[in-house]
Amino acid sequence: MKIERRQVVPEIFTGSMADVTFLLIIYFMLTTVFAASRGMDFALPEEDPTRREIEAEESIFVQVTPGGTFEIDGRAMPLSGFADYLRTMVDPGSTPPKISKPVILRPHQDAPYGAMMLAFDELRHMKDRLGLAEELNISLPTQREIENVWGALGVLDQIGMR
Amino acid sequence: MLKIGRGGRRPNPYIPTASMADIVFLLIIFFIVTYNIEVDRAQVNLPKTRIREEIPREAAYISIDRNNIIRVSAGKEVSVPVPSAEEVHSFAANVLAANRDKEFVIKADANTPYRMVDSVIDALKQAKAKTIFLLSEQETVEGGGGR
Repeated sequence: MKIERRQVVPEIFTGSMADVTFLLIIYFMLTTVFAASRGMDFALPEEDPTRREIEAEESIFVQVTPGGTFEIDGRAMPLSGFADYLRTMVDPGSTPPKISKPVILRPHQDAPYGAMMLAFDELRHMKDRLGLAEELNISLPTQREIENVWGALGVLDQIGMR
Repeated sequence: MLKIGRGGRRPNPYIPTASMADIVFLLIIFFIVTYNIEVDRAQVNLPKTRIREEIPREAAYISIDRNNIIRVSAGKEVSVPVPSAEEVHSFAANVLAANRDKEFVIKADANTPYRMVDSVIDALKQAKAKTIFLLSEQETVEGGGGR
């Protein structure tokens, strides 16, 4: 007697595919983090040890106090007053307006970092606020640089940063 | 009289799941593409700014948390604490020796005294870093109302 063989149809079993992929999804959802991936960029100037001469030039001096308040050129000023003050610093006759004086942002060592960032953000925003031709030239000297350079010039005592 | 409905063949109710795998695969592809390994998990309250630039992938991280603990990561591995800001200088020098143009991200708590950030920036300047990013959160309309 001839026994008839039942032919097995070849197939890839995909029944558990959804379970596996759901497990992967759950893994990714649990481990993924909505990391903050944006911030304010700041190009650090290159130090040139051969350059010794220091040019005295007028600048706009922005300070952040330990209490988180702001001063420009020694005058207490809220953040909202920056634009009006800087408007008076526009180079006369420049079209479009331009502020060629460098801005020195100098937070006090005990000032909250968040307040410094508010001031930095506001200063970076001035190009749009005042319709300037180019961004302000903002420098952020460190305490070591200040002590090395400004200390030699006696500026620290004048502005009470010592 | 003909009875309609009763006694007829009723189809078994079922939920079609054939496209489930496709949808789930699409979701997986989305997660794989957007997956970002967070190299620094220090809990900080980031300062809020309006200007925010995209930070390059695999930038080196230096974080300062609310307890003034400094952690560093070259961009791929999980950050590790360092005892002082002086160590940041040697860390940055090593990173820059491998890649001169490596970007550094400073992730600091908004309430951190500026002296901590200042010492880190100074270490980076001395190591001759070119670009730093100060990590921030987007300032919302409510947050900017007081300006």
